[in-house]
Amino acid sequence: MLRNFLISGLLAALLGPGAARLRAQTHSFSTLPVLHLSGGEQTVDGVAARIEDDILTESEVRELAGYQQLVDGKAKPRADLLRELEDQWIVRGEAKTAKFPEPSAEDQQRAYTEFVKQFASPEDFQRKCAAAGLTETSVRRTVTEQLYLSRFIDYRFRPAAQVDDAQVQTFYQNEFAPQLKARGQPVPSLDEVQDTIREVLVQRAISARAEKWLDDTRAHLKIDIVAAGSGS
Amino acid sequence: MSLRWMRGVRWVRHTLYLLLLVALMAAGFVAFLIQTGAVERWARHELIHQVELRTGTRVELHGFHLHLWHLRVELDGLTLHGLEPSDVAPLFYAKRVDAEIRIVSFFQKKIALEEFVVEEPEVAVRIDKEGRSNVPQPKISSGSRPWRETLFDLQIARLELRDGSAYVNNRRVPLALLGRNFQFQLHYDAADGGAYAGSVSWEQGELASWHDTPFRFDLVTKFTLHHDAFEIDQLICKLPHSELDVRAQLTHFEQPQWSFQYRGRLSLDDVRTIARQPGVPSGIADFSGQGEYAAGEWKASGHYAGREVQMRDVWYHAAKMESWGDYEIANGVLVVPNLGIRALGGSGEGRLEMKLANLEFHTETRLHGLRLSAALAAVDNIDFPVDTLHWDGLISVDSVNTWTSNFKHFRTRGTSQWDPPETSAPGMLPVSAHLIFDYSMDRRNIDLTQSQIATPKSTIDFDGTLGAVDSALELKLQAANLTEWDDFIDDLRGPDSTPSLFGGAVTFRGRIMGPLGGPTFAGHIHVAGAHYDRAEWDEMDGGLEYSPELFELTSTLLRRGNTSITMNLNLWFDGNWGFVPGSQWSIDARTERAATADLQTVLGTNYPVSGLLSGDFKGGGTRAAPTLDANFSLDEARIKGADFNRLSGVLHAEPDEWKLSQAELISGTGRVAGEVDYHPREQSIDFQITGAGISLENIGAIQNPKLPVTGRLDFELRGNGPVHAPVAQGDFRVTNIKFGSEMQGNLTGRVVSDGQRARFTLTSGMLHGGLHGDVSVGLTGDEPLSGEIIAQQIDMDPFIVSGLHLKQLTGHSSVDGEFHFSGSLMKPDTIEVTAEISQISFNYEFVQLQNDGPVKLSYRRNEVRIDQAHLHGPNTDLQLNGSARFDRDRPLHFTMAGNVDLRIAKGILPDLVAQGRADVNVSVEGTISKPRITGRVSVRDASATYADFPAGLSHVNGDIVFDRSRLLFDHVTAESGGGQLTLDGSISYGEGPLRYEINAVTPQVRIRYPAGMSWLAGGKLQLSGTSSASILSGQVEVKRVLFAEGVDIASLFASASDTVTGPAPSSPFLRNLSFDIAVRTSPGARIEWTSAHVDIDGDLRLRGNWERPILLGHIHLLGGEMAFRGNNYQLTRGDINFASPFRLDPELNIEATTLINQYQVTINFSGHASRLSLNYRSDPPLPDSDIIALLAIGSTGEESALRSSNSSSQNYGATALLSEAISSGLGGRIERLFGITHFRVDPFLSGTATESNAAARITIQQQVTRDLNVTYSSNTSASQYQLIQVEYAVRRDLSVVFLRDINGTYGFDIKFVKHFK
Repeated sequence: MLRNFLISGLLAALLGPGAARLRAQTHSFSTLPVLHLSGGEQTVDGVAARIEDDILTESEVRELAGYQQLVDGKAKPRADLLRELEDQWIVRGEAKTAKFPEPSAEDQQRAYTEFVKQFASPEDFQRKCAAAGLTETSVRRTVTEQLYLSRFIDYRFRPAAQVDDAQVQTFYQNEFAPQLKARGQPVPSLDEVQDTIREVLVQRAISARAEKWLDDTRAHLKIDIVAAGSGS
Repeated sequence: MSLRWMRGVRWVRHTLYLLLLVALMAAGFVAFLIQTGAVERWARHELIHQVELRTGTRVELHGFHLHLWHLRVELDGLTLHGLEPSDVAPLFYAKRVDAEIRIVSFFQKKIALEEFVVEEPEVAVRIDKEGRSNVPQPKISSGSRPWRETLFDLQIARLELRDGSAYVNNRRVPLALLGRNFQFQLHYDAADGGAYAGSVSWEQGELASWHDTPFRFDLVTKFTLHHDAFEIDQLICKLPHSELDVRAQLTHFEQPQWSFQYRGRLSLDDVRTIARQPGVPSGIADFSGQGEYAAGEWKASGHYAGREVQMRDVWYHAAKMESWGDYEIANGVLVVPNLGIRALGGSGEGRLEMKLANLEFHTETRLHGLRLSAALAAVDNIDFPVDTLHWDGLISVDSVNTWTSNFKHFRTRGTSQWDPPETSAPGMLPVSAHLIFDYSMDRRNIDLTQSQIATPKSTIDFDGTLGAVDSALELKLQAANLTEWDDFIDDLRGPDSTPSLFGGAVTFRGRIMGPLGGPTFAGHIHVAGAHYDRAEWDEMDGGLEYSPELFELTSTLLRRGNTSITMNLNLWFDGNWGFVPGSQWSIDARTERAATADLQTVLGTNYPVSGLLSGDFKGGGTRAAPTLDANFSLDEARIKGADFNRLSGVLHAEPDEWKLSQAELISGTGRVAGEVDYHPREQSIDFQITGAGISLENIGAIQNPKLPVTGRLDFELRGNGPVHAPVAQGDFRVTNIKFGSEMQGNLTGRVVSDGQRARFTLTSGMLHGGLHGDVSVGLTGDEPLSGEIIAQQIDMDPFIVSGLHLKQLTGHSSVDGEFHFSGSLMKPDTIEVTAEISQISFNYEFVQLQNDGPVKLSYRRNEVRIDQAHLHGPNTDLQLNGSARFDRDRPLHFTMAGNVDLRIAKGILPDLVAQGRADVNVSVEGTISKPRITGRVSVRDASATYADFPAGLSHVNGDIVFDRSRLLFDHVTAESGGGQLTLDGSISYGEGPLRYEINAVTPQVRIRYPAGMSWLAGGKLQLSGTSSASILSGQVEVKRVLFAEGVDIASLFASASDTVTGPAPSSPFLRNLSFDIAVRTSPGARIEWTSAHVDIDGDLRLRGNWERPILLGHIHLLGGEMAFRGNNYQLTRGDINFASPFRLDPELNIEATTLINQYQVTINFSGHASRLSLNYRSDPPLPDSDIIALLAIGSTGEESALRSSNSSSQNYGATALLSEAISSGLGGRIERLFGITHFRVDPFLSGTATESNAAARITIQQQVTRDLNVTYSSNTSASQYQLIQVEYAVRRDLSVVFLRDINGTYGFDIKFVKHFK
């Protein structure tokens, strides 16, 4: 009897921590609310979508929605949020593969400071963050991500965005000069503005190429929307 | 003495007498016997008896002579008859036997033979079918014989058998022996039916029976002869390096069958010596075995192991070869079924057969692992230098080899595979190959069938025959680079040829013909990127034949760049590849506009001629006496730096004559034509040359960048005779001569040479003045020179400017004078020029100087002497005389006395602008590098400024004393910046560069540096150092700093971070000047500028140099007021710290307040000047955007001022449109990724390539209220680049836009929108 008791105790001591660890893993990757193992546990996060061998979590969806609310006053529908996160995932993956450097700590801090300064006051910023359900850390993360991805797109597509003189001339004649004339503004000479026009056209070319690339890449990705808002 | 003793003595004496008498009688008896021949007869009888008794033969002796006193016996016609029939040859016969006897022991009756010579001995042994021989048995009766009886015990010191023969059943064996210490013992054993037991020992024997070649040997043998059998118990034969030990047995004479065992060591050196065959290799073979001989046939078997085998044949020489195996001999054939071989680093196995009758060999071998480098070294010889190929590889050979005795009729055939080795020695090339070969010594050739050899850069395919007498090998060579064949080619060219460098990618298709020792290569060759030593060309293509007799290129194209030559070339050799002085050659070449640079590269020459060459060239003759005919033209020619359009002519060259006819040299409008005939041997020349329209600009020899000479030259010159002393005459005319920009006129001249002297006559047609003279030059000896040139009112301006480097001529100068020349051209030291200038004048820095009295100059032996020179002008009256040399250490001896206008000092110090007058009384001694100046210069009320130095001097008074190597300022005072300045100190110039030690003390001066700033300061400064490294140190107290109106202080600080803050000085002295000045502010010091002042308290130290000044220390801004962007600010606090020792980038922390529209706005500048940040706050508090709007728009009182800037706002319209376009591009991408419509983060924060773009400045767009929208752009790296737009919508269709653009200008728009349908 005593021998059976000791064996049972030993098995319990060994299996107890292992079972708890196993439960924790199952909990981390659980996607369905019905998988609650016990009444005392809560779902910390959820899978919003599977993209290739990766996932987009509900917390990421919530964070982006909050950021849009902070900046524009309202968040976009969930489908748009997921599509935007998927696009971010594509760009981020490409940037990591290319070992594109992260913004320096100094740049991150400066971007964040500039971002905060756009609000009426730090208190106003704090208040709006709280209303959007964001913390300072999440705002920093999103601002840094915005800086990183936008820089990479420029780095990725600028070399291919070649603009020749004829395109500059066409823009000047067909768009720039008519718009200025419509505003009643004097039209500077082409020599004065051709560098800036070239940059405008480069930006357009970058945007066009980035759009096309994102669309093409998305078409070849395996994306599985897990649950519409279940996790959020 | 007793009587008894006396009797005894007498008895002895009588006995001795008696014995003497008996001896005399005996001697007389013996002599009687000898004299009568009785002894000789007895000896002959006894000899015959003993021989017959001991041998059983019957003895015949034709003659017997005994020389008793010489112990010598001579036998003539000795015959021993055995058991043979009487009609056949006897058992033994000797024509003559000479024996010299030596008595070994008289008492033991033992004698020996000192010499035993047998002439023409003949031994005839016959053995019948029943085994019986004609050898008889001894006649000694058995009853009286002991068990063992010694029949012979001969010891012969020297034994010689001359011209003898031994017959065994009519089979002859020559007998010719010579040896020493011959011992022969023969015993008869009566036991077992009787047998002879003998032994023979012979040292240093010579056997002449083997191909009549004597050789030395030692022989020891023991034998037993039975009545029906024969045994060799032991036979040991020793040669110098070989040894044989045999034991043999003949079982029965009736059925003769030999059996034997043997072992030994054979040195091939002994074989080579005995057989007199130098070709026999060296080596040692150990062998052992057994055999038998019966019925006329040999059988044997055994084992051999050969080692240290070394071949010495020219076509195969290798060492340390080994061979081993088991052999069997039967039916006259030796077979080694398991032949083993080790040679050339590899090994092999095979089978060998050899017919003993004719030593015919047949081997089948399979070798592997042989080292190619070792194999090539083994076959390398002077006619086949393959070792220089530097090939390496591993060889496998399957071959069948046959030959007869001693490698006669040798033939080997089979296949060979070469594989690259795993590792090769440095410089060796890994090679692979597949060869099918058949070599025949009789045919003296080797057949190679469809074989190939490949190196890393070459491939050779060949098929055919290479032979000692004739070859016919089809060859295809493809070499990516010929350099790896260089050593092989050099060796083929012979030991006397100079090693050359061959290179290029070669393709050769052809064949090898003729004997291998002197082959002929014939075929077509193509070389790309070829070079031969220094000669290089891009391509060579043509027919090639190369043999010991001839090198021929036919229809060959040489191309380099755009240059091509087609040619046929023949070089006839001496039969051994040699191109000797008597060898014939010919060339026929043509080229069309070939660049000479390429041609020279091809030919490996480097003449100072370039251009495009066209023409036909034919050459021939011998190497020692070549001839060349060319009809050529060289376009765009450049000869020794001079450019010409064209050089053409017909050239005929041979050793004794170079003739250039129809020659024409054209350059622009100039043309030189004529004919030149030069005879090198006589060193004579005949020429006729005319030139017309030649521009002097094109003659580089007379051009000087500082004094260009222009004009037109025409001449005519003809002459003949020795090259250096021709009889010639000619005329020349130079028109429109200009020196620099000064037109001088014309110059004509004539030259006449009588072969002894050449006389040049000059006559000028100058615009101003004139120049004429005669100069005569001797053409022989030391070429004496004499003559004179007279100048009248010659313009000296260009010569003074360029020659004396005095660019400050401000008026016309001229000279009158006579110049006399004398001396010898061959001895330049003797050339002397004297000049007496009656008049010279020039205007320098507006100081007109003119001579008083003649100026007398002379030049001789590198020395210029001014005998007399007196110049005067305004404030100037100067006497100058002395001398200067331009050799050795260039000594100076000058004195100057008088007055000098200080404006002239600019000629000495170009950066110094001085005015005033100085009294000069100095003398200059020493050398140019170390002048010693003594004297004094007194300056009175002078002024001076130096280059970019911010302060000038006025009212300079004092004396400057020259003390040999120092310049001392003696009570020099001056005024500068409104203050008094006292100078003292010195400048050392005697040793090395100038060295300054100057002190300047002033209570207060004003310094304007940099532009727009004025410092009121006083103190003491010290300048020390040299021109290349000097330092300005001291202590300065600043009382006030003033900024001129328009100076932007913000920009000053912003630009302070630049590494170069000071203006780049034009003076080298200022560029090398360093600062170490302590700067303190005096109580009450302040900085003032327009509508502002700041009280300061500072303690600074100025370091660095003029271009990069560095300030360290701090300035406290105690208080003040300033107007900034239309607002009046009160400075509440401020600190400026200069902490960086590397750059002038102070750290600012300044705070100022102003009141705008009842808001007290406080602005704080902080951070480094290069990255200044601006913070705002207001009381009552406002958001930053509101503060910005407040600062940007200002009070209503400022609106009128803003309206005046309407044009700026119009420009901003275009900028805004484009910025919006750029921003929309960026924002669109951000919107796609993050879904935000407002572009909130500028991706081009500092550090990106597009930072300078307009888009990089678009950052904030804030909807402040429903009607008010503020756009704020700020480049964070430069805070002054701010763009602010405030748009206020008064109504839906009316809005007002206020603008502050990036240039800091303001404007506003009123927008009215009307929609039409």
